[in-house]
Amino acid sequence: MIEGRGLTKIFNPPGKNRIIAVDGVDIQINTGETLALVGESGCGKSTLSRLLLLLIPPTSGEVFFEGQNLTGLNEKKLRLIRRKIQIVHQQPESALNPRWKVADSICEPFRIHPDALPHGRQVGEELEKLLGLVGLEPEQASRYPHQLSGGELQRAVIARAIALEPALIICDEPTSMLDVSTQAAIVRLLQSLQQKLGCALLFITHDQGLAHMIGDRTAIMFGGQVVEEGKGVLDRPLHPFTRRITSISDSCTLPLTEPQGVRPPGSCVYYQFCPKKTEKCLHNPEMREYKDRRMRCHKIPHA
Amino acid sequence: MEYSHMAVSGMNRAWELFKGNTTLTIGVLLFVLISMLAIMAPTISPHDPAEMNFKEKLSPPSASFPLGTDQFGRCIFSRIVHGAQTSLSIAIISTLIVVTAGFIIGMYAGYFSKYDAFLMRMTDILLAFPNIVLAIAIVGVVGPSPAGIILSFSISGWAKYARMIRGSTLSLKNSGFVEAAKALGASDRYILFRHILPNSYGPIIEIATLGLGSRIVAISGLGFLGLGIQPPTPELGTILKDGLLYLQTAPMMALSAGGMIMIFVLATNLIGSELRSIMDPRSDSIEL
Repeated sequence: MIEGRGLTKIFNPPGKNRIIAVDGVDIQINTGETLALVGESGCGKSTLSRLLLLLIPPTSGEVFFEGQNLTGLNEKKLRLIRRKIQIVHQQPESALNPRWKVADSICEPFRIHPDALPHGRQVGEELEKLLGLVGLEPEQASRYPHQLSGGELQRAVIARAIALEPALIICDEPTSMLDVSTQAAIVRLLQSLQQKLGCALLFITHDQGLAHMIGDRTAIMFGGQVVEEGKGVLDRPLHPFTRRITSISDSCTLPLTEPQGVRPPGSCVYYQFCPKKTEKCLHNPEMREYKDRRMRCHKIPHA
Repeated sequence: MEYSHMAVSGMNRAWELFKGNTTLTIGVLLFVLISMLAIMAPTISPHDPAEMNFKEKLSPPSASFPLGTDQFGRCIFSRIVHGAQTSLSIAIISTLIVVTAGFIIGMYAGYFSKYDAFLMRMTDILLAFPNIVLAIAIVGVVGPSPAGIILSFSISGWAKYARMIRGSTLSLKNSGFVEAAKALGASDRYILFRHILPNSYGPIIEIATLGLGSRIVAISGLGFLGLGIQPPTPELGTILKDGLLYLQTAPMMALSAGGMIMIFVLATNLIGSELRSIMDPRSDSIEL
């Protein structure tokens, strides 16, 4: 349904070193499925989500939505497609306008797209339906964001995201700022909404447990690249980085956390950390199919 | 904490606002008092401000001349209230112009990064001049009429506001709710006017209120230097300057003009310092 091909984003701040935030990522999310995107902070997860939303233009690469190339579209045409892809942010506190009542924020989609309101329905009825879906009381929605808790705010953000019945919701670490019991409630809410509405989820997280629980497939990101992606990736990790984060080390040695030496230009992104690097690894491996997954590593045998 | 959500009428809400906020109450009362004097100047002044009575020049306060007369025997009270009217209108109009211009330029510079460098270099150039010096130069060119003074304040004053609003726009541009609105397909205009503008004006209103006071001082300053509104039109700065010559014979001249300026600046400062906390929705004292 949505597909990113060769997505690359290079930030080139004046006077500073350029940063390759996302480096040639191919990613695909099918209708109704959940893709968990796991990676350390700073590995480009959030940038990748913004590229898929076309909130920032890619340096190179293309985004296809239901077969249509979005990268060349002008802002006007893009606006109509935007309602199909929504985002739930990490920080619910800043995701709602502090001057608006929560109910006004939830109804914002209908203000931007008045034609999206089902024929003959009032905004109030839609609001009631959305509040019911996410489990908020109308009384809570009549307050201001600073008067609600983080979990309640995140429910409101989710209500806004599902208002236009999107085909994909990008959840950018939606639970990382919440306490543990609220986290579980929000994740369950997202799962039940997905079943009711049939939308796909791109669930960005650094919590593998959560990724394991929610994801139909998992993509592991390191240094701006997807290094391993597939169904049982977290159960049977193959890539050295995935092995490290799942804490299955090949020997009894602790996984490397400090970079060793410098990364030679053009080498594998994991070169400085990899315990099993060989001379081959000086050339960045291509993404290859292997059994039930795709991964970037020279260690896997050629098919 | 308890939040009441009863329908509170506007009157009640205003009452709640003033109750327990002495600073704001005093500020607003002084502001209203001076504004009323200025607005009703033609009705309440006992004499024509330009009418001269040479027999009664420099006379002390009396029933006929509440604040006495000046060196030409003109009624000081009438001149003060008329002068306040002129100063107040110039100050309010020029403040509205600089705040509006500052908002438009600042939001454009902050939101559309391609205009940023150009617009900010322009503000840098303007900020490099002391405001009053620039205003004097412009008045020197366009002439010391009310319109000329408004123009000079407008040209010299917007840069400060533009810079502040650019700053808040830059930080709001990357906030979650702006990104969410973009993801929903909102237009730039919608984002600027629904999200960025309402979240920027709290601190601006505070600075603008303070600016109103300093503009009254600047108008009087121009008058004091002889570059302001020209006689015979009454103007506070000119009255103050003339009054200084007669400080010993007719002290009311300088004192009343100076007092009027001082009370107005005091009122704007008191209101300005309170406004910010009232405008902030996160302050629990009141819901706006």
